[in-house]
Amino acid sequence: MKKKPLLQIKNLHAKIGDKEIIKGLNLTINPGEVHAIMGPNGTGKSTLANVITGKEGYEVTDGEIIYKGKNLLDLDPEERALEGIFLGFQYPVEIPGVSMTNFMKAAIDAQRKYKGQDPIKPGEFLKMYREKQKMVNMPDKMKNRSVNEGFSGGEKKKNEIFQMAMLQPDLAILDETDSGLDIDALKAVADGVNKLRNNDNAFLVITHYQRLLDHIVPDIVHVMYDGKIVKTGDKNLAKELEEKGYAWIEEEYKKSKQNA
Amino acid sequence: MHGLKKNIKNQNKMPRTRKLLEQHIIDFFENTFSKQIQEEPGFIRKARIEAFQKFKEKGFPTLKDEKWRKTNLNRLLDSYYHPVAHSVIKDSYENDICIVPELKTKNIYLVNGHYAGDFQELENGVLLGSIKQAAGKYPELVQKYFNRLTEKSTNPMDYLNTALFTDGFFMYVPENVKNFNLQISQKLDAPVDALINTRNLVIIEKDAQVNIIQCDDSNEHRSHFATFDSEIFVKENAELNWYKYQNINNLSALFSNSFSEVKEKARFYTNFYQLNGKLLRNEQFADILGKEVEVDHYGLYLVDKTQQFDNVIFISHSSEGSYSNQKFKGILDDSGKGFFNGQILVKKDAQQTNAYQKNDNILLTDKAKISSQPFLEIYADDVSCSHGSTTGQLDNEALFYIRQRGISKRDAQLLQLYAFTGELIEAIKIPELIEPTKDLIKKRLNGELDVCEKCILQCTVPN
Repeated sequence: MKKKPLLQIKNLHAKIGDKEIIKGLNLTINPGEVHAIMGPNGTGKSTLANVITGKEGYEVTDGEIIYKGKNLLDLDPEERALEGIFLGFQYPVEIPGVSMTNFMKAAIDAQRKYKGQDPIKPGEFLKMYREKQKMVNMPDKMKNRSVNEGFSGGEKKKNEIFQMAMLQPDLAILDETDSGLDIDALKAVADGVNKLRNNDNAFLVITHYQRLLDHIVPDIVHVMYDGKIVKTGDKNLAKELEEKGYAWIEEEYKKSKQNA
Repeated sequence: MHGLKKNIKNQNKMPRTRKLLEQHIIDFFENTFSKQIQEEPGFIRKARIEAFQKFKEKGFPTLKDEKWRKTNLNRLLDSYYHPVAHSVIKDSYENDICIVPELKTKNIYLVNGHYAGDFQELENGVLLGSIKQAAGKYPELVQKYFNRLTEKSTNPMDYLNTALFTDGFFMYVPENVKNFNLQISQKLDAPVDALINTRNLVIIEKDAQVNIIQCDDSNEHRSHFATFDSEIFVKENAELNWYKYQNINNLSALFSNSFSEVKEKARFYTNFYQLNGKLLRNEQFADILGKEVEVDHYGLYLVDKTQQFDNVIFISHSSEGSYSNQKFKGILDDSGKGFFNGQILVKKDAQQTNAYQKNDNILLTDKAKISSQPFLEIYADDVSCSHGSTTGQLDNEALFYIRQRGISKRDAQLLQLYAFTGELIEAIKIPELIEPTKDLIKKRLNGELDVCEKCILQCTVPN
């Protein structure tokens, strides 16, 4: 039996200031699927992630995003998060003075409140915290540090996956989580994702390179160019891109534009 | 006709009410107060009369005065303040519960410039009571210190305080007394709008160690114009830690000035929280008179509505090899204003001085204002001094990051603001004070703090 789509993006147009970045994008993600979006720099991949999660500064001029049957664009960023959308940031932000444990406790309790549940018990919280830390190979002492403050590039990315594991989203968007990672960190990140994968959740993995996709095997691979998805295929498309680069995509796209 | 016009012009230059209030205070001193103080010891009366003459000449500070350029008193001086508030409202405050849980302290109450309670001569030799009573009981001791530091002040608020103080507290801690804890509740609780002047004297002898926790409260409905001057002597290898929580109503102003003299190897530490009031101004002058002294002044100001909170700090290094640190942080919302003026003077012989200063601010609106003025005057050549001042808004990237984890915008802002205050909470050295301080800050940031709701000391307001 076919499941209802988790996320449907139809003819999305979005701009920053006067500059149109997303130019008619269509994408459907079903529960249980892992999608990868690849493409050269500056084609709007991160903008897509920011528009889905509701970051300020972007104007949607046309199209719609339906998530779990709801119009996502009507919701505040925190409501989208509470509805199960998680963004693994390309550049995780440092928040001096806010400890990781306090931050996560606040996030978990916000989620529980949204579901009509009482705040999590400290013991239960710490147990879960340790479990998930282990999962991404994060040393226990990091829990007392301020959010991302003084973390190395790899630690920051692992910390994103850790937060994802804590919050157990229905749709996780990972924005270039692989950039700047050594192979061990990359494996830890991929392991984390693979352990969380199930039939009810979905992942949208934004990446520039194919190497992450050796570890997180996608069901569907999209190529984004000039604010649109211009090509969709299976995991082999990622390998093809790795071998041939993006130039041929560019040419194909320009040709099709001329023909039109 | 011509003369009338000229008169009106003059009135515009100097608001009528300021002049009237000054005149009223002058008349009160000359006609009434001077008669009331005839029984006082000569040295106090002499100090009062000299200070009064200076006040009569100068009047209240104006925007032309160097350290008052950002602090307009006109908005306070348009009221009438009764020159002395009623004395103590209740016979005894002993039944007022006034404790930080688990912290063993002596408690004293200062109500409308009066000392509520008896003079105490404790077993460990500590003297604690009204400064006026102390002057009667221990005239030589009081005379040795009284007005020695305030006398040099050129601040009209100090003239006013010296001339007109009704009473205040006196504390003498003998050599070697350790861990002496004192809690002070100051209550501005006048039945009419009133001028209140409180004068204190604190002497900590060699090797003694003292903690003071002070809470400034007020009633909800009266305008108070209050000065609170303290002279503080910290002797060789002694230690004084002073925590203060100021939470008075939105009609009242409180000018708290402290003058300290800190001797060799002594430590003097303050951590002040300006939480609410129409105008709160804390001036702290510390004179370092020996080697290996440590002076730390910490402060947090949380300003909103049309409030203004000032901090004016002056640390003078007269001896070599000492350390001082000023750290002040502020969050300013609505049309709130703040003024920070931090001065470090390193005299010629004060080599190997380490002196630091930092002032950080967050402005939450376009209308909120902070004026931050660091001032370093260094005459020695082998010193390590630094100062820094930052003013910024909340970080929008961090705000989005927090909201993306499901935390509401309001909570995300509070989380960031609260985190900003962390440095000052971490500087608290009495563990029992940490949680109550956190609570007060959270409540204040959340807009839940009411007058005397409950100050950190959990005092009850006199009925």
